[in-house]
Amino acid sequence: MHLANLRFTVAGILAVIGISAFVIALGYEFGSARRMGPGYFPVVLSGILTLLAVSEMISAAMKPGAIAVDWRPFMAILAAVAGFAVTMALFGMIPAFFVVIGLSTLSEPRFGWVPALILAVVTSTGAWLLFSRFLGMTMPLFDWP
Amino acid sequence: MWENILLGFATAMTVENLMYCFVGVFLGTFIGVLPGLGSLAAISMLLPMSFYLEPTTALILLAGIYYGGEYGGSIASILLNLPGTPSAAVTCLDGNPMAKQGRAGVALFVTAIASFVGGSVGVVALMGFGPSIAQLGLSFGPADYFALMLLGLVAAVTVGGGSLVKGLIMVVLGLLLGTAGTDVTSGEFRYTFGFLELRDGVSLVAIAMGLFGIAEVVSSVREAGTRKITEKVTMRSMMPTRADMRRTVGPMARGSSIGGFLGALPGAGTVIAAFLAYATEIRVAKDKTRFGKGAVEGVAAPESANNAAAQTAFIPTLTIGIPGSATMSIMLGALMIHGITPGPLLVTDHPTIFWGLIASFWIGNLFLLVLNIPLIGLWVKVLQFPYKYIYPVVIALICIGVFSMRTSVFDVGLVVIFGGLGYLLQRTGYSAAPLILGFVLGPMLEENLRRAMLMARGDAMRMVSDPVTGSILGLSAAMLIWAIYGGVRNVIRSRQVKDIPPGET
Amino acid sequence: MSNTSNTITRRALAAVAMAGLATLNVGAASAQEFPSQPITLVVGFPPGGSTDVVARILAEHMTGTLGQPVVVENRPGAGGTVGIAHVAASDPDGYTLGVSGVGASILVAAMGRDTGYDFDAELDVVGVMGTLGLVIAGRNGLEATTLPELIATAAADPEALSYGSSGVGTPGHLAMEYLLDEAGVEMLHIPYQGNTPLMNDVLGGHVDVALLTTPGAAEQVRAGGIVAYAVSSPERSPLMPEIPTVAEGGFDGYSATLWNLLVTPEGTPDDVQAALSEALNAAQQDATVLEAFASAGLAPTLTSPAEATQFLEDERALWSGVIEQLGIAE
Repeated sequence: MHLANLRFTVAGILAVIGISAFVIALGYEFGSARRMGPGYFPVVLSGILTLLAVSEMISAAMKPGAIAVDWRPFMAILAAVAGFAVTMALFGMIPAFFVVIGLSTLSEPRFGWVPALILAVVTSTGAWLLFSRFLGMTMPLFDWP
Repeated sequence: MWENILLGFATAMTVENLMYCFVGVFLGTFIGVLPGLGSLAAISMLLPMSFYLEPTTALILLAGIYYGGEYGGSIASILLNLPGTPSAAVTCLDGNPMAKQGRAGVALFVTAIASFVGGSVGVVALMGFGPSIAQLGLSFGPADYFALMLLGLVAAVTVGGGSLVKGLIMVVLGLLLGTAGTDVTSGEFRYTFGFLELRDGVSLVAIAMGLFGIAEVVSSVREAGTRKITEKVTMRSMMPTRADMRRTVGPMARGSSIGGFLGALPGAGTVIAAFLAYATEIRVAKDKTRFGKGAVEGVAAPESANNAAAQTAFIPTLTIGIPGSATMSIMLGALMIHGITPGPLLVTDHPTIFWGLIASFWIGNLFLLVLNIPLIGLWVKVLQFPYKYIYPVVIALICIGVFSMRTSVFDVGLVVIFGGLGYLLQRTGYSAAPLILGFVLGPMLEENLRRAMLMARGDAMRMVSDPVTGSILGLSAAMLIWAIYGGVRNVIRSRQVKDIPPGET
Repeated sequence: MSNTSNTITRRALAAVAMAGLATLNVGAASAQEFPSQPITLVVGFPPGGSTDVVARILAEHMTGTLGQPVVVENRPGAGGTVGIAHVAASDPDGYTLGVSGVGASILVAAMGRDTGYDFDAELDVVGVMGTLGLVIAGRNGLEATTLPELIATAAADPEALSYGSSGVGTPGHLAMEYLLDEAGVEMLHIPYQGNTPLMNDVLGGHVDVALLTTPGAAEQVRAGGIVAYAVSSPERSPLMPEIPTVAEGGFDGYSATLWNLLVTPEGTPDDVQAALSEALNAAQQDATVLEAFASAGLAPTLTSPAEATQFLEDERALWSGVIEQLGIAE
């Protein structure tokens, strides 16, 4: 996937965030400047955000320039964190460490099996010693849903 | 007064207390240096350790963990661009570029010295003027807090460097994120999307770790093969040059004063201190363009401010029983576990606790200095280790760190979202630091403004006419005008000079 | 290109497989004598808060009685409901317990808000972990020195006084509205985020009246920073015995107390509940615990699981009645 103008796209994402937040905020009571309701700040802030983001979009559209995105590490690292969250919830801490380390190492095409495994073993042992043995935290090491 | 100080040192100098002070500083540094774990995490995890100790010893231990954790957080910020706290996010701005230029040793050395200077100033303020500073803090009403928050935000816009529009976008996005959760004034839920976890707002650590940590790792992986830190770890390479030293004196003095004063304000001080100190240095500096690219002042000022504030934050906590931060309320919790109710009479009822603790602060700061100067070589070695073996561990630690803050898998999920966003923002030249400050100050800004308007029964003039509020508001307005003027001037200049490609910082 | 993605898939699969293998090691917990492994006590508030302190004091003693560590785990969020939602979803084996306060047990649901659990259907009440009264206090410099005088000031001018609470829908807010409603007067409500900033603003004189938790307020009263008018509990507080109750101030039958319940997931075996209840009650009779309770303003409350359930019923009737009377549910 190639994005010709990343600056434009990112400003676009921010504008979408701004507009969605604005629409949602319209559902909250606005109040008045004297007695502001819960919607006052969100409406004003998301409005300003949208305007700023749109102006940034225009400025980016006028000066297009390609910016490289490292998709491989990007996806691998995000997958690793997401994988940790899911595994931690279902299978406990040690499997979660294996998953997060395993998926992180996919960032590089030639990371290698052995170093990945060694890292996973060392890190999870360290985490077990630190969090479970020393700090006495109660998160399950292994679990089954 | 002198006999109190003597009593304090006599209490703190017992073998047991010295030992626990050292243990605290050591453990705090160790946990704080782990990515994703800041001083708050360190102190909450180690709270059970204090259970079996005498109250004074328990507090000495926890206080040691606290500033050890703060210092450890700075190490992670400088070496790996991984701030665990908002104030450490400021240290990143110049500390990490210094590390990338092979000056990590100098940055850490300056951090250690600045922390010690700031800490010592804070301790002196605590000893000399504790109760009167506390009274000053109490006189700050909602309108004054609002004005102060506004000042902090103006500082935030100027801190990011680069484009003013992008700086504004990040502050506003931070403010908007800060509105998520339960609206204090009405009790209504905003942007919670039906999640219980979002009712208390988005987790700060998840945002910081996503925007800084994940974004940093993703961009560094590609460079990892090519990057080589050729710095030789000799004593000489760690020592700041004479020019460095000359440059840090002013920032340390200004940073300590700003931090020392702001730290005493419950809830607000410690967060804004580092940002304001940094913004002040940019204003004062002759050559503003050096900031964000490894200026040593940009490390010295926020670090001294941060540590001075860390000490004076104990003023409201110990003299009136009002904790200034989440960390401080854990301290008070530890006292209550021991059957001591913190309050305005703590100083008279339990002089050994109060003065012993203060003396131990200074001893702890000394330990921190003595412990860390020799360790700088070791920390710098971390950078010489192939990045390939560091980043998977960093990611794992970020995950477990975020998880352990609230024992929440949900927060780890948030890291994915903010990590994705953070990387894209970083590539396109947005600075995450203003977002963090906007996020932290936003809720306080809104809450205090609305509370002030409620109290003034809708009369804005009644609010502004107060001398304290008025003058802080005036100061923010002046800073804003200055920032806009500077921004416009920069735009004109950058039109003349060649365009800097976005994303390259 | 296809080669790379193949490697990715294979390695991803391997990671999952590793995780699976590692999981096989779990030994099924044998149903021996309870407890045979560490017990987790979930607190829905951050470490250092008043709920956390109560939990830690009691957990410490229960560890001794039960012979297995009772470890406090903080799962803060949404007025304590995040933690209780976790407990409700846990196995009913007695190894995951929760500390449930007035908010998580009654108020959030009674205000018409989603809690993520149905308290009665998903949780069992084992015991009461102490009760605590609130103090109606005022800033220095108010002319009123007693509760009736305070009410009279508000009656004379509805705009004269403002009162602060630690948040919309918290016990302090409801207890004060209840009192004002009974008295037929008005004060301007100013909500705060918790007790700490509220205390700050009463001490600084920015807000006139506040409902504060007893131990902190008692210290401030002793130091002359604020004035106490009345305590909300049915009996006077041992920390400030000279301060009358609201009921004594002319509001017969008025009572508002804070408390925490020890809860387990629904379906926890009776013998396990009995063991936990016994350990909890033993803790509340221990001299060291009582000393810590006294300085925290907590009254020990000894109950059987059945009595604790009845206690919850009574409290729910009271608070739901208040919410209904005020008409503030969503």
